[in-house]
Amino acid sequence: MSKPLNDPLLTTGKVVLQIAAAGIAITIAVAFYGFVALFTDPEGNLARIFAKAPPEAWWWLFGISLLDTLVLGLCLLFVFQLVQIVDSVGDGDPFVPQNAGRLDRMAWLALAMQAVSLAKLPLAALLEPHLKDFPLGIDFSLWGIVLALTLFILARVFRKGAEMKADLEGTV
Amino acid sequence: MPITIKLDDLLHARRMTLTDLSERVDITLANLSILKTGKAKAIRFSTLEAICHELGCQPGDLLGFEGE
Repeated sequence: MSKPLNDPLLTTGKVVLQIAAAGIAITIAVAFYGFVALFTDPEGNLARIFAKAPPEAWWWLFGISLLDTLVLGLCLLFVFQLVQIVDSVGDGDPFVPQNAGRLDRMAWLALAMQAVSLAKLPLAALLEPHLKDFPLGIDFSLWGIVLALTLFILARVFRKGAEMKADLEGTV
Repeated sequence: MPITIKLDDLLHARRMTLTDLSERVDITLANLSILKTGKAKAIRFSTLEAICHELGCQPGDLLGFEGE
């Protein structure tokens, strides 16, 4: 029977992840509020920024904002999975099939975040020329794919570890 | 599983209980019970050696194979 661990690293990790989850949740809420405020701005700040832009530019900005919110949501789900893994390590029993499933889900979430970031690029390319004084600062890296691959491999490691643990528990 | 454990027969032949064997070979009663009921997935050489030593038998006396 495994005993719960009293590990400062795990405790710190869990606190940091919970703060991160709260931060992301607040960011989603603020982004949503800003989103609504921007598109229903009575003073027309957005209209001034888009003075020389084609009418479709509103939709491009709407798409980018929506995709950004989606990335934040995926990020929140990613952190939730990681918190559950940290909890299982704290319980002293990390090599369970559930953790392999969690790592698989984290890998798919990392891929989804990468795909959403990729989907933002054409919209940003369309919008950026019309926002000379208001750069979007959107860039793209392939680290999401590297992270997803790492997580898929770790999921295999944990699945194998869980199998080996089950075998060991049946050894007399 | 086609591998069978004949620990029950060996104990019966020697008028010994599983608790007696557990004390002599220093293996928990729970683990010996898992072995006896055929629920074990593997057996260590050290366990086999201890049981054979105490029961005065060969590994082949303890293990059987029931092919189809």
